[in-house]
Amino acid sequence: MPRLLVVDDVEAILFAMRAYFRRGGFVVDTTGDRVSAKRMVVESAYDVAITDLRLGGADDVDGLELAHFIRHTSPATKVVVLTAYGSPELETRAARLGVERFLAKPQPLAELAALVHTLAATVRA
Amino acid sequence: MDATPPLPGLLDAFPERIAVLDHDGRIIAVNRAWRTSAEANGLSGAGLGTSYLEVCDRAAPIEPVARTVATALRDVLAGHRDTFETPYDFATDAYVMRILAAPEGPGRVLVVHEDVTRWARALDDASDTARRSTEALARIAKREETVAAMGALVAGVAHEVRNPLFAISSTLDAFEAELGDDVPRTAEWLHALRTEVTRMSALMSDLLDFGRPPRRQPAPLSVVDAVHAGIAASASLVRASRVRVRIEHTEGAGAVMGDERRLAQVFQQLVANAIQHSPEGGDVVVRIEETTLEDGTWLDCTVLDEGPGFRPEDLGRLFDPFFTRRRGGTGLGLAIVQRVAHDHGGEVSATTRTGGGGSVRVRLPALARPRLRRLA
Repeated sequence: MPRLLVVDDVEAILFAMRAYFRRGGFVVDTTGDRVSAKRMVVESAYDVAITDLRLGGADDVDGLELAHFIRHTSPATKVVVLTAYGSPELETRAARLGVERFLAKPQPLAELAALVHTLAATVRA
Repeated sequence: MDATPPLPGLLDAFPERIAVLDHDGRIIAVNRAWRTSAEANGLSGAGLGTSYLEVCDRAAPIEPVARTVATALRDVLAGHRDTFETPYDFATDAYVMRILAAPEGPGRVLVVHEDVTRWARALDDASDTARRSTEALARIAKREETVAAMGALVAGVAHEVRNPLFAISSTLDAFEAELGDDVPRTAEWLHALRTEVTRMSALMSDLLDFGRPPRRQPAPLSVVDAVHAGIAASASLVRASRVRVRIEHTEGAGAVMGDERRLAQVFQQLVANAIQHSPEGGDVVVRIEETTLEDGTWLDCTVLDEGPGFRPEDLGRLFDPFFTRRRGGTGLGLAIVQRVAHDHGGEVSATTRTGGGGSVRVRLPALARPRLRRLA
């Protein structure tokens, strides 16, 4: 089963995604802050990480900094950015950092689950 | 003054009033324009023999410019300076007066009065036009500033709403996955909630588009390509509706400066609207034509459908934000179309065609085609 990390500073989102993905058989960890996320990435091998763009830090796009960190410390992990604050410029920046997908909130969780399956399959191939 | 040396006929050809003064500042000759003017003002003999210097001295206490002229004339007569020039008004007219040292002959200086009224008026008109243009530009800038501020506010709200909206839709997804099969009539309840969440998502997405600022560096693009992209984005709607969509354009027509993605969005919206109002099996035509008017060359991109057209009472507010007759519509589609058209220096208008059918025209400033230089 795919191993998934979800990073978002809205607890209600983490609660719903944890419940949905666990129900779907995923191994899911969730966290609301970037520092914990980095520690978790170092300690566990995730197939996919879904991160919000704004994680409540001083930087408005600290999700991109996290994406950069994941690409370097865990190159096999596919990163998806899920944000309420997207723009074509940010999407281009994310792509340069190796982010697989840059998605706008809201997204149906069924579609996210299908995407995670697809990305995880490429990790394991 | 018959002893006056004859004025060379050359000076008569000048429209300016010209007088020749001797070494004492006395008028010894005048041209035709001077004489005509003097006679019109009741001066006999055109002032010949009169001391121009004394005339200026007499006028000095009531006309400050006369004092200045008298001083300058003395300087020129004494050889301290070669020229002097001053503007002055007489009645409603504007003049320039010049004193020029004559190089040789019995005349020491020339006094020239030039009527510059029409130049002064032209300058006033130009200043008025410039002032009005500046005021109009300031009004436009102010309006654009207001629109931009409103756009930023709207986009900010839309962004902020997306997070709780995602929390709600995710919770619904999780709830359905967890309990959907266990609780009777859950599907019905969830469907109602999802419909509203979807509607709100569409509204947020439209609000973000409405509030999006124009591209800072527009690029040359083909409107035909933007229309194709707009139709491609409506492909599923086209298939489902069984409406035929086609483009009509003349060869080579269709270059503008702008943002192709946003223009494609405009045509996607207009084609989708046209399809929604078309009868099954109907035709939707996007016609692109170049139109040359007094204020330049424009590209008219008109989307025509065979539906019932627009209600006359709706025409004045079709492009107002949140105006819609379609159930579930956000009412921002045509407002976004207008916003993008304005951002591109264009405009949008809608009519019902004679005989029925809606017509929405987006008029954009055409990009001048490079002219081929003819080599003789």
